[in-house]
Amino acid sequence: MNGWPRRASKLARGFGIEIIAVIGFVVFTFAVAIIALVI
Amino acid sequence: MLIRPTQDDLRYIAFDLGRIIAIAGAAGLLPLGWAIFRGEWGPAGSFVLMIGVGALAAVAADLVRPSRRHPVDWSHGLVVTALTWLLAPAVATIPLYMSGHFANWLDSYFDAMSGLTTTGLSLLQDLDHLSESVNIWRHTLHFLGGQGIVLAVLAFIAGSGALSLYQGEGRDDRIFPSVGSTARFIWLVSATHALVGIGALTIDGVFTQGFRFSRSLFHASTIFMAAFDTGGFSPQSTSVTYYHSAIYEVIVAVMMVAGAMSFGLHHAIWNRTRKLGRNLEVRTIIASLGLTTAVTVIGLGLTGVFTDAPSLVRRGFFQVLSAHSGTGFSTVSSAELSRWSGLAFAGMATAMALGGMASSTAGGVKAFRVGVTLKTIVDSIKAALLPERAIVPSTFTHFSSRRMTPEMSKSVMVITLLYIGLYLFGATVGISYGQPLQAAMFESISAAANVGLSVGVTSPSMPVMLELTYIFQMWIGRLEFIAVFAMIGFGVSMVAGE
Repeated sequence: MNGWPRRASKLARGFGIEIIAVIGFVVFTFAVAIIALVI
Repeated sequence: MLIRPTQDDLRYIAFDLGRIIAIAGAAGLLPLGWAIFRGEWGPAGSFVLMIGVGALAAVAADLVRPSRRHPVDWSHGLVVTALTWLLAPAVATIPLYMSGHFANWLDSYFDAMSGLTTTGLSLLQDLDHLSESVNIWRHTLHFLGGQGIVLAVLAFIAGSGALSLYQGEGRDDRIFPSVGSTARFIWLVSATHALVGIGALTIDGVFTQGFRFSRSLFHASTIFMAAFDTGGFSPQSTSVTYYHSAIYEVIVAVMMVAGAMSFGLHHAIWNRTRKLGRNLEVRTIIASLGLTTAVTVIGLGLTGVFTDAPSLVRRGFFQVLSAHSGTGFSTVSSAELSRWSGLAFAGMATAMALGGMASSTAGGVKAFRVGVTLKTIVDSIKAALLPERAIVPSTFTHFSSRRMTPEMSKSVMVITLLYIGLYLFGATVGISYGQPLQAAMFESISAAANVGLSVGVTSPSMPVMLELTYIFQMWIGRLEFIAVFAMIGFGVSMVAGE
């Protein structure tokens, strides 16, 4: 895979990791929030 | 012995400075185009004036053009960088001051410095009635400053001495062998994120908030520039709260994460570099973001500021990410933020102080230095526990395996200590003007780490000395000390040199 498809897949990988990082931290925050509200 | 600079030295500095100021002034073409498009003729005139001042700087640079070829000189680059970041705001402030939204010139210079250093603190009055083109300019300052004024210029005129200009701005990761190609890669990453970020925010604005396309594009462009360049200005006084949209906040959060990531990491991800999980900087920022989020959210839960989990997560997560990435967007008011006490304050202040990754647009101590500092401490403890003759080999992964040298530990810890000193200095000045300790500390860290969150200390009625202190903190914090020290040394050698 060369040219634009290759570049597009690189970009998608970059954005994918950024989105996963945000979702991961939101889930983590949710878990902490539930604990914080319970204690 | 100090060597007095020659006339040629001054010519080299003035020549580079003039060219960079001219290009910074030329960036006013973007808001000028918007002003003409929207028929904002008053602001259009102020942009023409600014571009004209930039053109005069170019002419002045040509008049002092050095006769010989530009030499490779480390100190010239550092002095030019430090002076650029003092003079560029003075030129960039022309449209801001002429907008009539500032009480005096110093207030508008404060905003220009805040914009260029991607801080986000503001003394602008009646933001909600500011013209669109001036708003675009404020956010362009974020973009220009985030990319690095000098770096922006390097992309086009990279020549000898470029490396010292590049590193003077606190960027020490060369992704490619040449500074010019590194600069072009940084612009490629930024342009790609601009396309995707502005597109996503515009679509959300049109379809979920009912904005007209041009209005949505305006808001998306300004918010993107402030998010990706971890600035924090917003076109509305209520910051991101104005949009009342969780989707908008998530898109902004992704852009803030992208902005806080080093361009080296962007490059590694794009090229599928393995073992990113072992990278010291990546590990450090994940740990520090997790820890400060947990501390802040537990603090908010204990103080009862939020009583339901969704509100707590939405506000808490966004605020901590905004603080840690050095952005400064807010989904709570300054008055509400000032009530975040105890653990919540500790979490937020620590997040701001630590900052994002090195070679990103974020400010603060930076994850790489935090990681190296912690590793140095652990190694010292190990060495203390082992027999005297034992050798403790110390390596870490930062895109490649690297050996920790005493020189590296020393330089990292010196800068870390300087940041802590800078935070305390601003807090002391704040306290001396009658601010409570917590507010003074919060605002000082916010300015020095180029974050921009405020608990209300920064206001048009603040004392002039405190305003000057924050300007100094924003400037020296952005340049990570060395360029400023080089400039001071250069000044001293002009007076005391032989």
